[in-house]
Amino acid sequence: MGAMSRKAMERVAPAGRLASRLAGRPSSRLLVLLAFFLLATLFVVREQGRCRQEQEGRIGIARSVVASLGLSDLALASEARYTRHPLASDPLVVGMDHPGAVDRFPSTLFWAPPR
Amino acid sequence: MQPMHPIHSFGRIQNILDYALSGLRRKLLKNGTVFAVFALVVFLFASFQLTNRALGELAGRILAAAPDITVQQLQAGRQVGIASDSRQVLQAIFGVRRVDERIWGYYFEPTSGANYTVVGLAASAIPASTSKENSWPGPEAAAIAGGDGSSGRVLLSPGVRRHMGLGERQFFSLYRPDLSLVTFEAVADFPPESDLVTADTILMSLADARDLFAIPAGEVTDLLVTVGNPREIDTIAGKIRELLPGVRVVTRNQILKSYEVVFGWRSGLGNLLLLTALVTFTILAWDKATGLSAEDLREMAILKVLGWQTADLILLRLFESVLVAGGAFAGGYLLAWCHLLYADGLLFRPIFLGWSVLRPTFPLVPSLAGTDLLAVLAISVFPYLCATAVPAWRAAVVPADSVL
Amino acid sequence: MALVELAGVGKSYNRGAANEVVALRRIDLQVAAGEMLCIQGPSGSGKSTLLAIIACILPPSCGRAVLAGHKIARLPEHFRTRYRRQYVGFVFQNFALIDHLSLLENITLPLLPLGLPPRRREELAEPLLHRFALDHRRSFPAGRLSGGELQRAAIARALINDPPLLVADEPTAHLDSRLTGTVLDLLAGLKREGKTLILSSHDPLVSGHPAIDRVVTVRDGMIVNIAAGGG
Repeated sequence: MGAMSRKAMERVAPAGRLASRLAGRPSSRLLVLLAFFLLATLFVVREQGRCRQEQEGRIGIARSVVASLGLSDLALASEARYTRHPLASDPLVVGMDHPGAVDRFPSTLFWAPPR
Repeated sequence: MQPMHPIHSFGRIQNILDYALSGLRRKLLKNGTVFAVFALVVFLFASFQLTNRALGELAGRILAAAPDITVQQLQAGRQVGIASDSRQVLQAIFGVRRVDERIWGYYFEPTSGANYTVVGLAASAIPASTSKENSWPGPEAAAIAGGDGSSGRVLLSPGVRRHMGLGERQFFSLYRPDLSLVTFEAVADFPPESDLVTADTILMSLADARDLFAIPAGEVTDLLVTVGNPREIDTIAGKIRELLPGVRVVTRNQILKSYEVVFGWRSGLGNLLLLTALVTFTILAWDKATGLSAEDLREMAILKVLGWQTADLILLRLFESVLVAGGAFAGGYLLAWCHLLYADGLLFRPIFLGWSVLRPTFPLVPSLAGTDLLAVLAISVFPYLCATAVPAWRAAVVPADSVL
Repeated sequence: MALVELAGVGKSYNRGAANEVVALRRIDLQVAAGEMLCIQGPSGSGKSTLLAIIACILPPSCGRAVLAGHKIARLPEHFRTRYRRQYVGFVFQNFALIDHLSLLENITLPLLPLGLPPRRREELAEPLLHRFALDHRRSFPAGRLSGGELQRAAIARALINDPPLLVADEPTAHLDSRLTGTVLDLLAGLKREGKTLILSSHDPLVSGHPAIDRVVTVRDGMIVNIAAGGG
């Protein structure tokens, strides 16, 4: 009886065994991982498209504010004149306003007045 | 004579890939550490780059609406007030559509260290309210236009309102230079969408701004020139320089170019800061890659005797390196992308904001650029593959008889 | 036609250098297909080098070497590997199994660069596992096998490509006399199936085995005697 059941099992097994072996190959698993990664990539790229569209509306408003008020600079670093309005401040304002001023790292690394 | 064993080239590649993967999995801790550090380096570089690019693009697109020409008076190299009368001179230039006066300046709040930017515009300079979608000003901004005289009504950014602790209250006071108080009524807020340019801004009428800063009559901070034909901007800027010697003329193109330069320069600096991470990583990669153990060499020699070609062994080693490097690159970049998309570049935002008390809120959207990808590849994947190439070669050419 | 023909084969390491070592000098040997040959001699006599040349692992420094009709003496490595893959199964003295791989994986290693899928590899390994009584050990890591099992696994691996020639370097060096007998009987069985076997050994149990056709004695890199074997 035991022998019979083993025989029966062997008859059923091949298809299932093949599938399990294919799935068991590391390269197949890598492929699955790759597929997940591609899906994730597709998803975030689509998300980016959605955010971009959303941003489009925001930019439209921001742009009309800029146009209405004649603004020329970003309000990113408002800590000092020369970081808030690099375009409209003097090249030497860094030293002239307060010769002993502590350098306002880190934004001055980035917001130096244009030459 | 027996026929030559046929070689199934796809199966061969898949088998070697399998073998490489099991090898990587066996030394999970070691390879996992390299992978994690690698992905972290890629993440940092890519995050910084994506933040920088997103911000740069955003700035470029918003500032595309900056005034055609801004005229300011210089004296002894410093900016001083410009005579309102110059307006007539500018208006007379052929091609100039309109000239608006503006007074703007900083109002420093010593207790909190905040720096407000006060913008004063003549009511006539602010366009009539529009009902167009995605446009400003809406009906709420019309309140500011209380004639050309002093109205005491101002527009605030939500950030300034929060910072002043106004809440639902409408009235607040600011000091004149002589420490007398001026009271203002905050009638409306700037739209949150324009926070990137108005986070610290208080908009009032020209007369109110003149009163607040005690600027003498007949003087303004700058004149904004609107030109009919954008192609004539440079020509007209040249004419203005001739007609009004001693002024500074800033065109919109100059603004955009300067910001481009600022962002480009920043990107280089940021990469410099991240160089330490790269150096550490290179050392790690080198250590990992050159640490070819006797056990590894023995395994390679056994495989060789068993009929593996040098090319098979090189492929095996290549797969190992490419899987680690490629996986870490892809993972790190994806993470950086999400960092921007979902966390608005949280990590590097403080660098751009510095010690500002008033901080704008603005969502950042990453954008894919071939040059960015190449740059990250060049500083991470490329050195790693180079570092692993030599030991891979050494392992692959191990003489088969060394195992005997 | 002889399966293996060596004529005037010599091998020296570090040629031309001060530390030049001459391992083999002027070896002439022919091995017919279906023959079982034992090469004996003290350690350092050049047995292993001779086997490595026959198995296309090492190129000889001089002389003519022919394997199954192919001149192999001056072939570049790539082609030697191809012939080795096709004609030779090699059994290492120290078994040279990779410890962290399972027995089945070890046995099927030579099939990987041929591109055979796992199922096909297992199909090929199945009769060998059965024949060498390794069925129950197939998923054991090689590092956990006993000496006898390791030796049988090494032979099974050498046979997975079904090569006409099996070269075994000291196949019984790490085995006791009972296991030695078992392994020799296994090899004799292969001979009956028409395989050509070349073994090296300094164990009289091997050279005296009835299946051995000829015993070649090597000393100081030279063949000093060829005698009829126990068979």
